Amino acid sequence: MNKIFEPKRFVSYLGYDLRSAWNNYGVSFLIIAMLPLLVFVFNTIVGLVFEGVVDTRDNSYSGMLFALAVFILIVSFSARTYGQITDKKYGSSWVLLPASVFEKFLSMLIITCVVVPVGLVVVFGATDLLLSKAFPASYGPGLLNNMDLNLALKDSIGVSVNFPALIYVSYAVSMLAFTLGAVIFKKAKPAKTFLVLMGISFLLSSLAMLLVSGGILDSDRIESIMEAMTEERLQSLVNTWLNVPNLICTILLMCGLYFRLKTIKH
Amino acid sequence: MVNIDQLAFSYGSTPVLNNITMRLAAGRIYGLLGENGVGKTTLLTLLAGLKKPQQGTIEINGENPYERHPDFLSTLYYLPDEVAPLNETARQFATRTGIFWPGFSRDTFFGAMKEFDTDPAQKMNRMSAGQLKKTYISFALASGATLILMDEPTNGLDIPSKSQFRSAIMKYTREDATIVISTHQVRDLENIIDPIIILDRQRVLMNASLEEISRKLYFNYGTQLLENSLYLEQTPTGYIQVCRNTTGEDSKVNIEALFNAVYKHKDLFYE
Repeated sequence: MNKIFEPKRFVSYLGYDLRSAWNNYGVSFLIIAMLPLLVFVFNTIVGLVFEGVVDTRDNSYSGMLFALAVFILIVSFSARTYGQITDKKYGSSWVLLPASVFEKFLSMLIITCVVVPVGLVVVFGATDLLLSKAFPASYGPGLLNNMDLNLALKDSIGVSVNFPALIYVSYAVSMLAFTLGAVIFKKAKPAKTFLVLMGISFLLSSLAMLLVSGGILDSDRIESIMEAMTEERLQSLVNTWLNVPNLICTILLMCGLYFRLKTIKH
Repeated sequence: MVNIDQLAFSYGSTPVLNNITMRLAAGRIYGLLGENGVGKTTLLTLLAGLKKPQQGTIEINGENPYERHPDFLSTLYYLPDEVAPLNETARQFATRTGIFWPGFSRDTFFGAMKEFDTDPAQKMNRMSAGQLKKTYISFALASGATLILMDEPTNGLDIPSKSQFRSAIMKYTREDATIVISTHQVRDLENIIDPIIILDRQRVLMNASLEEISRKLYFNYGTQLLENSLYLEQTPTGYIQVCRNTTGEDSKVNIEALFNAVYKHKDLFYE
């Protein structure tokens, strides 16, 4: 057990890993998480200088900024924080640091899938809330006022979707994919990960097209099944069964990540 | 302590190490010498567990290094040729990294940093290459590891630092620790390394202590040319000549001359 997981050593390693992440990405993280403030200041200055007034923003503005912040984090965080593992200078010290591969893997998961999103929500949310309270006219309503997206979706597709869970699961899968890319590719990590993901999407969609055109998947039959579904079953399908592919992706990515960390050589 | 048995490793179709067998004892400072590209770094990375042997085995205190068990890793420190300029001070680095080595001594770290005349409050990514190297050397000596592997530790060090390095090694090395120092700048390590391992392409030419070497070879520093010398080098004050020790006379081993003599007469020395 001592060789695989020891709580005291794991806590030490997690602290070490958090500090490394902060050293490598702390300032960038704060800039990304405080995007509402930066954009607001920029907009205000530009508005006052060129038009003499500050435009009022619509309700979706904070949501778009949040999506942008999440996207930037997913693409850049792991490449900057864990991408160094593939570099001989940094990587050999990381591999030989006295903690087990499982502890290093678990710490990586906790930081990328828990600490980073929680930190983003807290800092972004606080910045957004403060700005919306301090400048209600020019900043607009803020992100929290747009959180009723599940109701909005219920109006359009007739089902109440657990929207935060859906966002989180999608975030986790994407973050794990880019983390795996960061520890596999030596250079151009995000770009190569994008290319691989595009290639996989292309293959899967081609496969689906083949199944439909080959008559194995009957789109009319699928549509009729969907139409005949009760609201409860549709709800269950959207909120539970649609997560199964995400769950499979998560497990595959985690296995890939662990295997890569276990076998990395310098 | 370290048992290497019929070790082989190649990069693709290029063999680097072939059928290497040797034992390294505890409490010695080994000098690993060899020309560029003979596999010194590869051997060190294999010993550290950074690479997997393709044939043969490595056993360090009964452990296979490639398994990278935490308990084993806490007895080992590997100092690569190029070290990472981290975004933190040397003091912060030592504090947060040292906790993983149970034998780590802050006093030794700061003592060695002082010996090297390097400020522990300086950020590592603002240090010169030499200062950075000295920080890592200080950490290696303070780690309390029983096996320290150093790849070209004097690369990037200025002349005073090289003598500080020798003095730090002598002062802070644990009695039970084995240190393997790979270098092609043998003069930097004169007086501290013993035994000496000389690697040739894919094989070990020599693995012997200075005492064993001086029993077999005689190093003459005079002005008269000797007959049957294995190696001869002219110096401003005369010659350094290496010949077989047929009389049993003691002489001071000149590592550079030894290296050249061994390379010139490989078949005489091949183990």
